Amino acid sequence: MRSLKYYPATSWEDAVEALTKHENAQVIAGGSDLLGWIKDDLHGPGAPRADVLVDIRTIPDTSYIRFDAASGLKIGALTNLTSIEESPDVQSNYPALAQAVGAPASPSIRNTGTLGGNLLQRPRCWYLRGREFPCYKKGGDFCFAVTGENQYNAILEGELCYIVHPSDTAPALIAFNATANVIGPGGSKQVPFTEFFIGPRVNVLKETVLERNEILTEVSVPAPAAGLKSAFFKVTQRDVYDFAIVSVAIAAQIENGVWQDGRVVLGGVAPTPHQSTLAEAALKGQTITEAVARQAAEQAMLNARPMTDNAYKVDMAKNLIQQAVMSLLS
Amino acid sequence: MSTQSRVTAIDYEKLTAAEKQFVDLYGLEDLDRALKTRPPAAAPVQRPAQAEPSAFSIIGKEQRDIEGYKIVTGQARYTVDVYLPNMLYVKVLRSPLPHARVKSIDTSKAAQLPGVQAVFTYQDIPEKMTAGGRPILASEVALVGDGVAVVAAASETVAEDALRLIEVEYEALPFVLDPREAEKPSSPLARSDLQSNLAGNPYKVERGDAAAGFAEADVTVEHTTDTQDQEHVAMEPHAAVAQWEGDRLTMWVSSQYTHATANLLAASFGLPKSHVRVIADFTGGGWGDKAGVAYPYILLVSLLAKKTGRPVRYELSRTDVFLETSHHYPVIQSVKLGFKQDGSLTALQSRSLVNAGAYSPFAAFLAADTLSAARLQYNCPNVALEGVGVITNSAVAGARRCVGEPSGVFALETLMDEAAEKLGMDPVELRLMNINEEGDPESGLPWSSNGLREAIVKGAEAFRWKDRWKGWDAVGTSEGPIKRGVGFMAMACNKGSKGPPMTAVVQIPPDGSVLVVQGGAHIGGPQRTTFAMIAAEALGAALDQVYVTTPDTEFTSDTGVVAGSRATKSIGLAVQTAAEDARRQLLDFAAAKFTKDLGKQIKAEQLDVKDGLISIKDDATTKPITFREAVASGFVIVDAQPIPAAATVIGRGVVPPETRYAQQTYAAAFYEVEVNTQTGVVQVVDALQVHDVGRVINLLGLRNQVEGGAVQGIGFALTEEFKYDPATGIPVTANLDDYKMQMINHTPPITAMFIESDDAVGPFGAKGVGEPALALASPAISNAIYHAVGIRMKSLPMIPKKVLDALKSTGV
Repeated sequence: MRSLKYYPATSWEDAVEALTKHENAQVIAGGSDLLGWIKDDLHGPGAPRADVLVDIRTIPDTSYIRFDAASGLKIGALTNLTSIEESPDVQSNYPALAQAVGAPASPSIRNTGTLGGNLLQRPRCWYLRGREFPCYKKGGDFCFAVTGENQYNAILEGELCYIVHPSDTAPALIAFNATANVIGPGGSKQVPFTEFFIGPRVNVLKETVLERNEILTEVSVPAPAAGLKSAFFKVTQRDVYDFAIVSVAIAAQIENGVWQDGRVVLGGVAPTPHQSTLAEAALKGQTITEAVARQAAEQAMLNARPMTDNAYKVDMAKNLIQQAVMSLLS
Repeated sequence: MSTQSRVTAIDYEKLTAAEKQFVDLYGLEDLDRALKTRPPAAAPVQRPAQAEPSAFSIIGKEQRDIEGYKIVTGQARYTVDVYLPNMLYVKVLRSPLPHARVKSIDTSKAAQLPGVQAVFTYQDIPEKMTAGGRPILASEVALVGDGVAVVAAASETVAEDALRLIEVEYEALPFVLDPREAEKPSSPLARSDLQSNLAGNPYKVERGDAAAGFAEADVTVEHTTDTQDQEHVAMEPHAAVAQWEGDRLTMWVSSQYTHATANLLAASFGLPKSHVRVIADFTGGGWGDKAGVAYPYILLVSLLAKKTGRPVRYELSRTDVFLETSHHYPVIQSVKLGFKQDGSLTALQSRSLVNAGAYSPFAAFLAADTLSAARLQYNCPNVALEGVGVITNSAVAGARRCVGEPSGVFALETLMDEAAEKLGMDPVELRLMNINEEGDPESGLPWSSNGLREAIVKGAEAFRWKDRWKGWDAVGTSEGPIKRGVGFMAMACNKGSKGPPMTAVVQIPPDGSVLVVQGGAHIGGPQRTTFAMIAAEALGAALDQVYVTTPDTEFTSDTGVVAGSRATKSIGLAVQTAAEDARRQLLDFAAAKFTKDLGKQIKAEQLDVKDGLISIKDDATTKPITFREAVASGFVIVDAQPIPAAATVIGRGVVPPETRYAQQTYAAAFYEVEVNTQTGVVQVVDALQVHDVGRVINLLGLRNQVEGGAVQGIGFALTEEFKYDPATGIPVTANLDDYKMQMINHTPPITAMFIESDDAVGPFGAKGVGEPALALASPAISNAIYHAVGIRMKSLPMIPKKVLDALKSTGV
């Protein structure tokens, strides 16, 4: 690995200041994605090499899980995934979130990796992750996946760039209507996760609304409504250490087998976690049956535009949505 | 000396050509010993009587790796653990283009960076110095990853920073990745020094008349399979440390074959081999990737160490390993089989097209290996085989555990399954009807052992094949989205043989301990434990008396590579021969001592050795003596006079090549899979691999070999693939995120069963096993998928995409 400057931050404000001061500074928390990115020496006109690492692990009280039946769940951005997975509060109130935080990578990565890092990790597209490909995301002027190997790329909402969002926790948090707490030079603000992620048509160089001197500090999840059921499913080629080919998170209020209200969010299919309002509309007010679940799945893929090698993901996503919806009844 | 076996009169002129060649190499004495101790070539093949397991005191048991404690406590020194004072670190600047000419290269800024001690480009490499024909640093690059410059610096970080200061201007040249394209005359040449992309002459075998054979066939089946580039991914990355002292070069290298590296260095630097020392105390896996292959990095560290006068170390990053070292090569193989209605083979035709990568010194061998099973596994009067290797701008093709055979048996055994259905036969019965149990039809030599029938029959029993397979009508009948199916395959494998060089020395110093001096690598087999067990058994020593050396060319002789499953059989034979020679000398000493002590003539033939004690047979009253007592008070008979000689016994093991038998190892596999028809994910739920190993030496090491092979085989079948962007020729999976190795919790329970066919050649009847262990999974899984859901998977790896696409196209 090349040489870098290291800045251990003492407070959120200190970290924001360091980021503001150094043009190519980056935040490091668990480092499980960032260090790989640096070691692979990924860079481009729109993705300059980091020269300073601002460590936020040195900031006190950033790792916590606090649950209150009235106000809901608050998780510090530096909380590691294992702690969340093992939290009885998360397991009993947000089961799909507990499953989702247990899904990435391996136990050792989940011990190191933080919730904030999982949400902010960069996409895994073979071309973005190849140093020699000057793709749109690095500030280049081409998407190599269009003419190349695209079996894992986006089937929905691709434009210019066909990355898929790699996070397992993001679909689950969107399904549970979670909000990000963000700190920046102007202080703190709340951003719902539905507005947190941005696609390539908004800004191809990044995946979230965060400016380079803003930091995700906390995730808050509303208290679960009565009758809230949830499910998280993920398809990978191998059981561990694998990103989702397709994942789906659902949180919905079910009464007597009838879908009252809820969210269906897909991972691995689009440049951002994809909330399928079409599937949600197909389910709303319906008694859940295989046919209804299938109809929702078909709706979710209505606008799918597969590339040369990834049409199979459409079938896979439909099957997974149907399976996830049906699982809410059990 | 009386301890030398006497040479009986051998008339050189009456020897066969092979024997003469042998005598020229090894001398009459060894031929004499070989002829005395082994059955003659003309002898009819008879299964040697199975020795009772109780006849052995050491072998056949579960023995933990003698070196295991050092390994798991971090005391074992691997090459990546070698740090020398004043050492420099290396990083290589690699080509980002698959084919290009270096127009200009400017290293001046890099050379000025503080801490940088040397920067080389192709201009700094001695003329004519290559890594087996591959440029050490290239002026014309032929794959992404060819080195164009190298930096030696005070730290890895400085070296890496320096790489970014090197400016290279390339002139891109046309490139080719697809072997089907490369084969065409219209293809761009992968290298400008080639006349054609064909890598040498095609490999061809013709027996009988294939066209006539197909004409008389009642049932014909044919298909084309494609198998992918698999990387070895040894746990220890490739690494080397070079140090010069005057005109002596010492290298620590992660290696399966130190002597090959020593030969390369001696030839490259014009040194006598005695001035080159290559050491590999422990090697963290190799699977053929470290089989003494002449990689550029080995020469680079040597050149940089010479230039700087300091030790130079290069530990390849995982990406460096992917880019610089050899891979298992992609194979496109077509097979056509003709059968009589009763199931007997009338004709077999196969053509394999092998992607040999940018530089392959032995493409013809790689192509031939994919056709080995087609050539030898079944009795077939009419056979036509062709193997073609082509040069492309992709990873260098090399040996990976079982080389080309996993691709070959995937092509053959999935088609045999299809044929069985068409013939309405149980696939097990079809194999049993056709397997070749006699010998090599081309050389006419009999097999040294053949346990294939037993492996198939016993495996089918243990797996309850008939109950679980249920016949062709049962295909795809299970309920629900997850379908279960079972699959079977059989294999005759050309690995695991005896082949030269085979040398070892067994020393027994006056303290009675036993030192086995041999140069075979300890790469996890665990080979040195195997050698210790063989030596102890042959000597009658206790196992804890025996120490086996690590590979160090300074004091071990060349005993060949630890690869091709040859260690147990070939190096094991050398160790056994040396131990038997030492035993003869030891017993002469002991006999002299007993004679002196008892005051009556005791001959060596009257003695017995077990567990480190030498006793007189049928004499319970005389106290047995230890090795120490025998050696320390030993006598040498000179001119019929006993001369006291408190000397080290030196047993010599030099083994001739095999001329009397053709050799194979055999296996059968039974796999059960679950196919998720909604996601395309295939999960192996049960795996039984039955291997004919000749004789079990170390039951624990053997199970490890089979389980490890099965895991690599399942990875080959289901997940692992090194891929390129077709438009740019740049690899897209040169890391362990995207190159998907098998993980332990995705690994099914693997049952290993062993057949002891008592090989006529191997030590105590043993032969190799590590390589075929990889080859079984993919055809067995493909056949099981067909049984589960009725689709024939002909392309590896069988990833969810391919399974879902196939399910969709058949409307399942």
